[in-house]
Amino acid sequence: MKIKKPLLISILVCWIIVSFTNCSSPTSSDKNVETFKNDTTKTKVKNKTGFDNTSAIIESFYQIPAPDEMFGILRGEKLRFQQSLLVPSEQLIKLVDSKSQALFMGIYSADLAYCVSLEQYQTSITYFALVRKLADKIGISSVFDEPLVSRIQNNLNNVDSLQNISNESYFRIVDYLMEIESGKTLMFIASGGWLEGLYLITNAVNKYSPNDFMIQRVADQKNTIDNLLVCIAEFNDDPYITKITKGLTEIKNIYAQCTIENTDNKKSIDKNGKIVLSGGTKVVISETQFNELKTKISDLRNSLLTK
Amino acid sequence: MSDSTSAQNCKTYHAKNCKFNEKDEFQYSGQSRSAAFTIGQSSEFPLLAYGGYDYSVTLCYEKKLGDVQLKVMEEDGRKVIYDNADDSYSKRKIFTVSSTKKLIVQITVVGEKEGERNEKNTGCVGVLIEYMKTPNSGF
Repeated sequence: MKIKKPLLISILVCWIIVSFTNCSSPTSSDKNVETFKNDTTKTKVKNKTGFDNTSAIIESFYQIPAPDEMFGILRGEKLRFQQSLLVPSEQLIKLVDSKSQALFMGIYSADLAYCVSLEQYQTSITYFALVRKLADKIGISSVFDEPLVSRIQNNLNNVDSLQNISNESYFRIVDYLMEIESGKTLMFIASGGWLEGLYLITNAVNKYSPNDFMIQRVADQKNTIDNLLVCIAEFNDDPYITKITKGLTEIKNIYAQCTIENTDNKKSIDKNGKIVLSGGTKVVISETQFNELKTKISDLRNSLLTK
Repeated sequence: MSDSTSAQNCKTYHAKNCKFNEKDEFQYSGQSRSAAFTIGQSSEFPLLAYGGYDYSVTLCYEKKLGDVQLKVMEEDGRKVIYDNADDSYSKRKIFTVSSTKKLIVQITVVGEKEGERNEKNTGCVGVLIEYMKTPNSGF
């Protein structure tokens, strides 16, 4: 029986209401909140003035792009959506410890940003629900309040609004974790989001071209991997982190081989009075380096799935 | 110390007080920052601006601080790209970034330093960074 669109939307809305308002048992939430209450990893703001009063972890975190900042460039590009690239929802039940839950919060957030960028509304709703369920597992479901749920319901077909909501959800989680000074959790989320983002973009490229904007976005991440490794270095006594660090270091080593092109920095003013910046330092990635990077990123990302 | 002089309480000042860009396409960037500042103080942070995006940089701050100067500089050589002191201390500037750049955002609370930090000379400053895909121009 062919389901008419308005009825389909009603079914989706009902499903969302159930997914987003279903409370987990107090015992599991409390246990996870307890875990993160103990995580006061070096995030406390010293009562100094100016921007340099943040911890090394938070300072590095600021410069790791959120999923949407990586994917926003894909909007309107008419790229082929590849569902097979996404982490399946079934992975959720395998995430039984707080570390993997936080890591996959980042991973699923990146998958959500990918879906929204490529205007995949139904799949976006699935991944919203997964992010919500993970937030519940790690004890931060309060960030998904009723007004946010209502906005999702009312904007199912509006890609601009879905992008806003997806981005807002991510930063509500980040802000909450900053407030409760959960540096380690933030680090896991940022790492998961960054890795999955890079995995999706490298696999979205059909054919290498030095002028491809997606290839350039991959090359640009040379600017962020050092920050990611600084974040992770704080926790290298953890074997799970050691494995991720090893993989990221191998990725960093490939970036280290990329060429840097220097041209004059240029500044001009367009007809609307807007400053236009061009030129400067550009990371150039060869086809061989791109393919090596793609393999290393896929290997690391897939190794986390089978854990 | 009261709310505005505590660094902790300035943390999310930009999200609550800065005026978000009216265009829906602009998205909040995690590179946005807030901090407590004392009159006469200057401080800066790095901004990685991705090619292919327009960036909207919006300033907000407590009135008691007076004027606040926003400078955006190239990281290489610290060449000033924009200084709102030349723009009537405007609180917003939009940039188009054609190729990814490392920039520095510098904030200075204009005025003479008045001795020890206290409630009268210290307040929150927020820098809201938003981005959107650069619109295509032409026909």
